[in-house]
Amino acid sequence: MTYGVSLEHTTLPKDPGLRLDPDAREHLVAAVPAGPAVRRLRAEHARDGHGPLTLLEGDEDAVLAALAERLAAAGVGLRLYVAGAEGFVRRAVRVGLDAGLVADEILTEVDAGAARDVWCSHCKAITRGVTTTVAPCAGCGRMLEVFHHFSRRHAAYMGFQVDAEVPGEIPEPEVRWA
Amino acid sequence: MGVTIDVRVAAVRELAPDVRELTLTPLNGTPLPAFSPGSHVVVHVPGERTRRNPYSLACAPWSTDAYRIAVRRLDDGRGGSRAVHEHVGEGDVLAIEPPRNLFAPVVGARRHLLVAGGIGITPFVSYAHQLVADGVPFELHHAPTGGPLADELAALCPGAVHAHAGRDELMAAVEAALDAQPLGTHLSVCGPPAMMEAVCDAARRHGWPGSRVHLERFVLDTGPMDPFAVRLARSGREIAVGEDESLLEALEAAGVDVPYLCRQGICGECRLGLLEGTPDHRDIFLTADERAAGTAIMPCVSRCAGDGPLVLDLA
Ligand code: FES
Repeated sequence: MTYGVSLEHTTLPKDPGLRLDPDAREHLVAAVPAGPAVRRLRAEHARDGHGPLTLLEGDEDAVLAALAERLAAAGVGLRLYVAGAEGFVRRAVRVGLDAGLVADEILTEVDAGAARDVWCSHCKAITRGVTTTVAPCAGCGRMLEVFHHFSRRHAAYMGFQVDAEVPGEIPEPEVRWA
Repeated sequence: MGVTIDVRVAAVRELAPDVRELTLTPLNGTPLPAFSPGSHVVVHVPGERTRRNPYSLACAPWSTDAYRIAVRRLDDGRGGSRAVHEHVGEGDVLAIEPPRNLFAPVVGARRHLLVAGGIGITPFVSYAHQLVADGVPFELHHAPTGGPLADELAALCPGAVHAHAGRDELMAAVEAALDAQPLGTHLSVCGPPAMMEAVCDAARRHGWPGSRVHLERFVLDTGPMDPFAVRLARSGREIAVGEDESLLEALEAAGVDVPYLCRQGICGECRLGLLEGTPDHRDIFLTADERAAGTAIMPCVSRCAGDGPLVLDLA
């Protein structure tokens, strides 16, 4: 079954890795947990960064809330660095774009699990932490097939009911984003 | 050459000793096209040979009963702007091409920082009208002080327009402004090349990524205008390019149609295949690799290093 969504035409997020941008005059880091990528970034900052580097700490939701608050008062010249689990990274990028950052000002690295957030195209609910190609929707319970199509607006991958054409015909879920 | 619109020069006003403003009105009462902020028109300037020069529209985007353009007299051998000063007077009829835009404000920008040098203020007249109408905040820094256009803008948006006496004062104000813009601000710059370079450099030093910086290259460094020859490979025709015309103008005068938009070496529209000869690239469109390859040329600004001929992939 296809939905006219082909791999070539989709916008999949790219993660350039956490590299310090030496031109920035302020560096804001949202990383849960703060792992090796953040240590590397701090070392780079100590060597050739100018302007302060701030690390937001806490659980994912706390960091996202703190991030939105910091960005509301921030000025052009800031770079946002995001690392952690795939779902968190996408949500933090969304917060950054909503605050007025441009894509060039956000550097990302997924270094804590590739589980995806999936947006149900039927009930619009978002199911977090999906690791398999087919998974139940947390909202409506439909079995969703996870597509290679990322919605920036929802900060999630698109999911479509897998047995829409032949009800009950559900392929074996395959673990792909552990 | 595409459609042209005949307009009457309804008024001529001196904005500065070397800058003249023309008010252009439709001939038969049909409104002129509305345009987007930052648009320019290509004016067919009469003279010994017709020139086609781009000028920013310096009026509100919905000003369909009259366009205004400001023309600086340039004594660099390019006859177009001199011809406007010498040959165009009130009541004359000119042909213009419909507005085009290579400098539109970024959609979705939440605030604009605008920087203008000299006559580079012209595209920001339409910006200011639109931004005021849309309620989008902005600040405009320009130098030098004074001039009817600047006064008009200051009256239109009090508090948002900052005049500076000279280049140093302008740059000091820009450096301060670059550090004080909320996320979502975009920077647009128009003016002489050296000034634009200084602003770009300052923006980079203050942490502005290139995607937030937008340039209208108003006055290109043209360099000497030595004559040279071109050959059209497919027909074998030889065409001489004189010292007062561009390669594009020489081709047009010889009846060879080449598509164009900006006529300033920016947009890439006029790109021609180059088969032989050493070009003197003066555009800002081709990449370093393309220049090194020497297989393409932008005839609106680029010339030949030496007498030529340049052999063009044209009939
Ligand atoms: S017409 Fe735009 S580059 Fe020549």
